[in-house]
Amino acid sequence: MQQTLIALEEVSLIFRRGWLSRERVEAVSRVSLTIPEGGILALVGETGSGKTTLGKLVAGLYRPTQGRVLFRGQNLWTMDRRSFLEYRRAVQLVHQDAFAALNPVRTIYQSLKAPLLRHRMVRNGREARERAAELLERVGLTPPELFLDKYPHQLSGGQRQRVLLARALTVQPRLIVADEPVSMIDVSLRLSILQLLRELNRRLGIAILYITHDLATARYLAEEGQLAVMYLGQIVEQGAFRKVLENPCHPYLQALLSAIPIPDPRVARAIRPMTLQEIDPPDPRRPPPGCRFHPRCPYAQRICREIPPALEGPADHQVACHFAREIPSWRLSSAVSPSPWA
Amino acid sequence: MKPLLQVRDLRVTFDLGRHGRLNAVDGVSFDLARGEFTALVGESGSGKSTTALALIRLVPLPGFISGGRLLWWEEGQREPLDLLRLSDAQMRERRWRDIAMVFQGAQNALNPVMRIAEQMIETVRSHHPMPRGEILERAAQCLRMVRLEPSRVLRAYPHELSGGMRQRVLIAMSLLMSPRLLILDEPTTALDVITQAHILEILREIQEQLGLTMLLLTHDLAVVAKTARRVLIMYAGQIVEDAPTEALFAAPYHPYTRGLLQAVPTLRGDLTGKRPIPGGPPDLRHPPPGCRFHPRCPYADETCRRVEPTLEDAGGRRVACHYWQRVARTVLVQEPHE
Ligand SMILES: Nc1ncnc2c1ncn2[C@@H]1O[C@H](COP(=O)(O)OP(=O)(O)OP(=O)(O)O)[C@@H](O)[C@H]1O
Ligand SMILES: Nc1ncnc2c1ncn2[C@@H]1O[C@H](COP(=O)(O)OP(=O)(O)OP(=O)(O)O)[C@@H](O)[C@H]1O
Ligand code: SF4
Ligand code: SF4
Ligand SMILES: [Mg+2]
Ligand SMILES: [Mg+2]
Repeated sequence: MQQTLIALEEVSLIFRRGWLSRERVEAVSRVSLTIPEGGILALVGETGSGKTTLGKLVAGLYRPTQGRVLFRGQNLWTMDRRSFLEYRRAVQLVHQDAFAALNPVRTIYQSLKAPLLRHRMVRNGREARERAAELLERVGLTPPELFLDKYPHQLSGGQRQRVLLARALTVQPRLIVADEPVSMIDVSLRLSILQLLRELNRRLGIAILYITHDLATARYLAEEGQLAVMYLGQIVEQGAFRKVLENPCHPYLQALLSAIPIPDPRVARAIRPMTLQEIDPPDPRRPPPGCRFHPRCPYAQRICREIPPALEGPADHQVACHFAREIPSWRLSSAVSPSPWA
Repeated sequence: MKPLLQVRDLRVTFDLGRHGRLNAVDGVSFDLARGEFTALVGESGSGKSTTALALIRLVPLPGFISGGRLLWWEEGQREPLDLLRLSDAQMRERRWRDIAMVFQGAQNALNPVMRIAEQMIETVRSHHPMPRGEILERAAQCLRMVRLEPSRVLRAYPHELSGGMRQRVLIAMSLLMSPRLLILDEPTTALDVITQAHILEILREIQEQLGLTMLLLTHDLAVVAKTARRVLIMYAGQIVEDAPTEALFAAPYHPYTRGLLQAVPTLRGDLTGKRPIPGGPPDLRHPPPGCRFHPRCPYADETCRRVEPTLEDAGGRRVACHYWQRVARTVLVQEPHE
C-alpha cells in the first residue's frame, strides 16, 4: 500500500451568502477520502454536487468549516507556515477554463518563468527559459520554440490546457487537482489531454485528483485507481474504480449509469434510463433531509426521509444507502455485445 | 414521398471586415424526411447552429446567407417553395408555425420577471391572435407532453424552475403552434446526464406521437445513437457523411466519423483502441486545400491534398471521401497518425 498523501476527515464546508444573510449552502458535507502518493482518484458528480469546492479544499484554497485536511498526516490548517507553503507547492490546481486561468498579456514563457523564479526552481533567466522549454516538451507542445513567445489567444483550447499543465509542473507537484480539464475542449482532442495526465502520473509519479461529470473519461484515466461519486455535497459511493463499476450499489449511481448515452444504437435502444420519482435534481441550496437522494429514489422508505445513511463497507467499496444490500443489483453489461465503439 | 425540406448548396458567409471572410456553412445539401428524426453532429464551430439558423433565416450579422435553396414541400403540392425567396414578412409567418427552433443555451434566456404562462401567451400572440383561454389550454397540453405539471409550471417564474424544467418549458413553447419541423440546438448539453436521458426519451415520444420532423443538433455522437433515425456529420462547414443511424455506427465510412468514435472514451468495452484525432479543426478563413480533413486524416495522400472530395452516393448513404471504400473495409484505424 502506498503512503497516504492527502486525507480528508469528515470535512464540511458551508458557504454563507453575504455577511448577515442566514442562507447557508453546505456545499461539502462530511466527506472523508484519501489520495495515496502517485494514485489517481476520479471524483464524479453532476452540476452543483460540490466537486469544485472539494477540489479547492484539497488544494488548500478553502478552509473547512468542520473536519480536517491532512497532508502526509499533518493538519493543513494548524501546521507551521513553512510546511503550509510546501503544501501549496506540492498540490497544484488546474482549472477547467484555461483561457481565464492564463494572463492574456503574458507570453507562455512569462507565465512559466514567474513560478519558476518565485519558487527558486531556477537561478536565472537563461535557466528559466531552458526549463520552460523542457516543460512544454513534456506536455507535448513541440517544438517548444514555437510556443514560448506566443500569447494565450494564439493557442487552441487543447494547447492552452497543456500550458496550464506545464505551469503546474514548474513547481514539481506531488498532486494535480484537475477540475474538468477537458470539458471545454473539442471532443476529438479530449483524449490527448487525458493521455497526458496519465503519462504524468505514470512517468513522474504525480498523484491526480480528476474532477469530472463524465464517468467515461473518468474510466479512461482512473480505471486502475479510485472512484468517488458525489451527490449534493456528499459522497454516496466510493472505492476501487473497477469494483464500483462492476457492482454499482447506490440507486443514484445506478440511475446515472443507466442514463449515460451509449454510442451504439443496438445497445442504447435496449437500455432505458432508470425510472425516478423525480427527473430533476433538487436545488443544491436546499438539500433534502435524511438521505439527500430520497425525493428521487425509487426505493426510498420512511427511514430515508429521516436519517442520513453513513458511508459503509470495506475500504475498496463503500456505499451510503440504508438499503444497499436489499436493492436489486444493476449491471452495466447487457445482453447485446457492444460494437468496438461502445 | 417527398421530403419535408430539401437543403441545397446552402452557404452562409461571415464578413469579418479586416479579419477576412469565412463560410461557416459551405455548400451544404441534405434532406429532412417527413416525420423523421435527424441529427446533425459536429464539433464546436463546425457550423451546426449557423446551418439551423439559416433554415429559419435568422443568421446573425455579420453573417448572411450567400447561396443555396431551401425547398419546402407542402403536402399535396407538386412544386416546392424556396424559403429563401419569401419576403421577410412571409418568412415570419412561417416561423413557429411551420418551423420552430429551441435555441442553444435558451434555457437561460427566458424572461426572468414574467411568469411562464405569460411568456407562452405572448409567444403565440406575437404570431397569431387567439383568446387567452384557448392558448392556456394548448399550453397545458404541451407542458403535459414534456411531463411537466401545468398547474404548477404556468404560475412559476423561470428562476423557480431547474435547468431541466426550463428546457422542457422551451420545448413545450416550441410545440404551441404545432410546427411541422422542430429544430433543437444542443437541448441537453448543459443538463445533468439523468435529466438529459429523460428529455431525449420525451423528444422521441413526442416525435413519434405527433409525427413531427425533428432536427437535433449536438456535438455528442452517443446522444444520437438512441434517438435519431438518420445522422449528418459536419466538419468545417460541410457535411462529410450522411447515413441511417444503424449503418453509421456499424461501419462509419468517413475517416472523421471513425476518428470521433475512436476518440471518445466509453463505459463499456475495450479502451486500448482509443486514440485522439491529431491536430485541430481548421481556421475557416483559410481552409486547407483539397479535403478539409486531410491535415488530420490517417488515410490522406497527394490526391486528398489537391482534390476536394464531393459528397457521393454510397448505397443509401453519402460520404465525402476519396477513399471511403478502403476506410469502410478496415475495422479500426490501426496506426496512429505520424
Ligand atoms: N463561492 C461560493 N459562494 C456560495 N456558494 C457557492 C460558492 N461556490 C459554490 N457554491 C455552491 O456550492 C454548491 C457546490 O458548488 P460546486 O461549484 O462545488 O459544484 P460542482 O460540482 O463543481 O459543479 P459544476 O459541475 O457545475 O462545476 C453549489 O450549490 C454552489 O452554488
Ligand atoms: N457572430 C459570428 N461572427 C463571426 N463568426 C461567426 C459568428 N457566429 C459563428 N461564426 C463562425 O461560424 C462558425 C460556425 O459556428 P456555429 O456556431 O454554427 O458552430 P456550432 O457547430 O454550432 O458550434 P457549437 O458546438 O460551439 O455551438 C464558427 O467557427 C465561427 O467561425
Ligand atoms: S438511503 Fe433510501 S433514499 Fe437514499 S438511496 Fe438508499 S434507499 Fe434510496
Ligand atoms: S478524402 Fe482523403 S483526407 Fe479526406 S477524409 Fe478521405 S482519405 Fe482522408
Ligand atoms: Mg465545478
Ligand atoms: Mg452551436
